[in-house]
Amino acid sequence: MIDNQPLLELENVGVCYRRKRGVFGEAFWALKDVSFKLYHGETLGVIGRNGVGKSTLLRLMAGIIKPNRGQFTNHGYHVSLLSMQLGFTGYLTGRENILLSGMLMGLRRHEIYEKMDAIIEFSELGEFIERPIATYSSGMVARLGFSIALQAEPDILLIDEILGVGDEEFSQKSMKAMRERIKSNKTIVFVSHNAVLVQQLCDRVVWIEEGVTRAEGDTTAVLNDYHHFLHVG
Amino acid sequence: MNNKFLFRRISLALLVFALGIAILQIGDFKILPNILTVELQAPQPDNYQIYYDFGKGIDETQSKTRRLETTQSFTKLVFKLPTIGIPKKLRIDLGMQPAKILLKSIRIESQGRLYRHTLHEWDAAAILRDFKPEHDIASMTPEGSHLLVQATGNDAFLSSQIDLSKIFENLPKHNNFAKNLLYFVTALCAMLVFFIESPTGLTVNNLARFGELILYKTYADLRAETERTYLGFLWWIFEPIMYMSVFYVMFGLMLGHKTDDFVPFLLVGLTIWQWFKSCLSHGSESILGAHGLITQIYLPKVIFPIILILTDTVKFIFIFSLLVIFLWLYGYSVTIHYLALPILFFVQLLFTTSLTFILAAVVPFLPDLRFVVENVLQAVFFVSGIFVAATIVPEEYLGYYYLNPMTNLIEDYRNVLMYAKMPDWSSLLVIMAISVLGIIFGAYLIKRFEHIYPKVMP
Repeated sequence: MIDNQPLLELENVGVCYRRKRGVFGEAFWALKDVSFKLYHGETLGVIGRNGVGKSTLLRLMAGIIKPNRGQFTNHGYHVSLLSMQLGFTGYLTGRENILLSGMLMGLRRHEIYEKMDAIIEFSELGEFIERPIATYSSGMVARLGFSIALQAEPDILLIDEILGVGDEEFSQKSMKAMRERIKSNKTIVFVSHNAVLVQQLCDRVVWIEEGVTRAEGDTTAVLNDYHHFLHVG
Repeated sequence: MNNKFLFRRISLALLVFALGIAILQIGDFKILPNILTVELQAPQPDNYQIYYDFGKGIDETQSKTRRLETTQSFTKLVFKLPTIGIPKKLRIDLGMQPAKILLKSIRIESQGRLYRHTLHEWDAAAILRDFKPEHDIASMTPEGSHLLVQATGNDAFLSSQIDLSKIFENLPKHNNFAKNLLYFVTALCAMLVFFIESPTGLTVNNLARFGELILYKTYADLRAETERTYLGFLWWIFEPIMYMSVFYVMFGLMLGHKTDDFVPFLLVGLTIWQWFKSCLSHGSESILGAHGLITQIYLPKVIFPIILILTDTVKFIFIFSLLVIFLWLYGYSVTIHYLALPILFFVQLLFTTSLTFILAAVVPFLPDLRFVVENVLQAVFFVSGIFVAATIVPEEYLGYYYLNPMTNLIEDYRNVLMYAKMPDWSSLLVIMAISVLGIIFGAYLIKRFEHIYPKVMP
């Protein structure tokens, strides 16, 4: 399943932000030295505590930002972050938001029309789809957001933590859909600090600590190191 | 380098060159004499008149009169000639009373918004050679570097005795300044396009996708705006009506401009300015305002100012339609000159886009710039000829006055909508060329900082 040609390559990548407004101010390195490769068809877990640069890493892989040092190579694949409620506008109806959000995620208009029924069906919004989303409850907005996000089909999907949203029932349903997506032959990067989920879902794991790759490899082995580190630290 | 990219760059460069050459073909302007200046000194104030013969002979309709007020020093009397060709004969009437008049020079110039050329100048000796006294003139004698003319009756005049077309034989045929500038800009554009393959991040492959997104986002923004109020899109009509009414009441009713054309004059200026201003002030904040979106997904950042410009342009279409209806009600009618309107819109759109791109590129780093922009716009508002016509600007400052593209555009709109005249093509072309360059530069800046914007604090 995993062939030898990597899709994405990171070599000693570092990303820095400026603490103050604008281009001036003290540099702050969110990522210092990260290296790993992503192969076709695998589910790669990225694990680390909060604030170790996981979000920055996702933005880097999605092509939103560029590294300040080191080498990041994308061998021509469409990478995108699973983003819920992307570009949602309160005064527009659910249907209009589906179109807008879908287009922002990179779908073409006709593709969205084809998927429209499936999206509405999955979101269980029914009649509400024709009303402005400002009139929705937060649970309904979350359901709509998830249903659209699920339809994005990039070559490489980046998932940040969240698998399921909404109330108990929808959460189960969305979690199931997402697990199916991850288990399929898609290339996925799953970022989390939840070791249990990573253990269940991922083929390989990269552990990042304070912007540096601490370990890369087999899920169980890396997670063991991670746990050991947590208990000692 | 990849062959495909090289091919694309070369074809883009060729396209820009072809466009430039096409522009240069339209920009083939003839220079014609349109200003005649007589510099003289006379002992009493008097009316001076010039007659020009374009083949129809000499008569009152083919003449211009100016009054000399100062008697202490030499004065330049400026006569405007019609630009229909080269006059066969010129006649200069030296007042209505007998007097000793000192003539210093007679000058013929060609003046447009962008240039002022002296085509021919007669000094005292040359006047003596080329002009002959014809009526009520006792003598013409050189005195120092001047020419003393002794007018004896109430109808003293002198006429040119030579073939004027000979003098103007070697006229510069083109507007050289504008043309050189166009060459320069075209070359620069071609170079820039060649070195920056796609200055925007919009490439041939993704143009359809992002084009669709731009249009739908524009629609969505407009929809969201109408949903926000009870009256919805009717506000696009009421708001300008209210805005225009304020000016109508203030100037038309309270300051007594009810009868002249000041109110339509003002409203044309305000409408055009409003479009420019709203695009610029909204567009410059567009990338900064899209921070939430651009940290979640990669999008070519250039689409944000484009969306804002489109949104404001749709609203402008409503306002402009209202303006035209107002003008019709006021008594102006549709003329053939309306055909120039799309070109004016296009040039203004290019100019607005260029400034908006450049500002939108910089504002995320310097958000304080927004306040500067607001105030600079307010200042430029007062020197863009919205309240006053160019005629009140002194001749010597006219060149600087027309450096402001908005001044040119607003005057062109007035020419088309109110005075049944065509716009000044040469200045339009220069604005267009500079704007294209500005757009490429702005788009390049946006592209350059594309991956830095998501890192900047909003």
